[in-house]
Parts: sequence; structure tokens; C-alpha cells
Amino acid sequence: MSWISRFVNVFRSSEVDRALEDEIGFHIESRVEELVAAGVSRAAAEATAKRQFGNQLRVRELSRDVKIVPYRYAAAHANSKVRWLHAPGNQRYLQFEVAGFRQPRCALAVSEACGQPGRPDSVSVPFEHSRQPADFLASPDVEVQG
Amino acid sequence: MPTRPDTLQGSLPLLILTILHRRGALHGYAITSHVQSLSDALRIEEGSLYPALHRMEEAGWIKARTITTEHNRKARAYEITHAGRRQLGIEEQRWRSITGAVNYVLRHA
Repeated sequence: MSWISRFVNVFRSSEVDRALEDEIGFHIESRVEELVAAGVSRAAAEATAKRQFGNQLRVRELSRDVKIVPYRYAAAHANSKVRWLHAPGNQRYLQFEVAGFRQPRCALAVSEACGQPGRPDSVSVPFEHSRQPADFLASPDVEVQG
Repeated sequence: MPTRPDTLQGSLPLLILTILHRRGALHGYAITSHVQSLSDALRIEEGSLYPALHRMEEAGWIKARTITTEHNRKARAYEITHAGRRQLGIEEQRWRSITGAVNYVLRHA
């Protein structure tokens, strides 16, 4: 998932939420069907499946943080600038810049891609890349039944 | 004395990548079921599975697509990517070095 899709997801967060809800719902419903097929009553199966899954809200929030650029963070850390730049030949162009995030490479890449002298440009929309993949490798997530 | 469930830090991505590499595209429920069918000793924390899958998707190790199950339901299935296969090699090596070090201490302490 690119940072662009994470940024776009800010504007379609309800769709992201619905997709997460569907995914969790599918998991729980599959567990319920399995338990019912094993002879457990539907009510007991639903209770067991939900208990085994754990805190659905927490799971949704954790996944949401991955899928959506944390806009509260963005608002707190953005260093926005709008300014007129003077180019050779008495031309002026407007530069809009949102900078100051922790991923300067992203900012640079977008800025370079958009930057064409003589027209409003340099729209830099960097973001805070939540965590590096190595960070979540250290999470305790597989239980050893003993 | 009741035994305390222990946790294996960092083993979830290794398990997920291995299963997706060997079994092809699977949804989250099938991944947990597959681990449990292979080993009674291991249980994937369901609450950890989906955030881990989404982080791995973000890292580009796996990609998701919507499939229709045999019961005609839509589900989100994950498959390993080229980067994921590369990462699987790294994870396997990391796992072997950790277990090798622990085994060495057990043998020589």
C-alpha cells in the first residue's frame, strides 16, 4: 500500500472502515459456522467466536492506523507554506508547500515530480509513515499453548 | 499450577509468509485455521492477525484481493509478493539464528 493510497484513504475513511468491518465480520462468521457445524448452538458459537477474536474496536483502530495517514498527526505536524516565487523573466508563480514531516524523501519526490517553473507547483504532501515493518516484528502475537 | 500461555515474539510474519508461500492466496480465517490444524501448540492471536496482515500489505510483502468463497461470500484474500518471498528468506534466517542461539545455550550451559 503506497503512501498515496494511505493519503487518499483519509478522504474515503468510511469505505476503509466498512472494509475492515466486513473482514472482521467474515472471520467471526466463519468461526461461528465452524462451531455450529461441530454441534455448538448458534448463540453459544457467536459468543465464543466474539470472545476468541477479542477487542474488535482495538483491531479496527490498529488497522485503521495502517491504512490511513493519521490526519490528526498531519494537522499537528504540518508546516504549510503558500508563497509567491520570482522566476527569471519577471515571472511569478505560486508555491504551495506542506513540509516538515519525517519522510523528506517523499516530499522531495512529489515536489520534483510536480515542479515546473512558471506555473503553480511544488505541491509537497509528505506524511508520517506509521512504523517501519521491523517495528511490528517485535509484537507478541503468537501464543504457545502450554 | 496452571501453565501460562507464552508468546513468540516476531513469529507471526514468518508464519503468515510461509503459509501464503506454500498454500497460495488465503483469507485471514484460513490462515489461523491452517496454523491450528498443523499444531495444537500454536494459536494465532486473532486480534493481532489483521493489523499484522495490513502492515505486511503496507510493507509490500503481501497483496490483497477480493475472492468469492465456496459459500458464495466475499472475502479478502492475501497472497505473497516477490518482496514477501525475499522477506520470508530473511525471516527464516532470523528465526534459525535465534533458535540456534537458544539451542546452543541449552546444550552448553
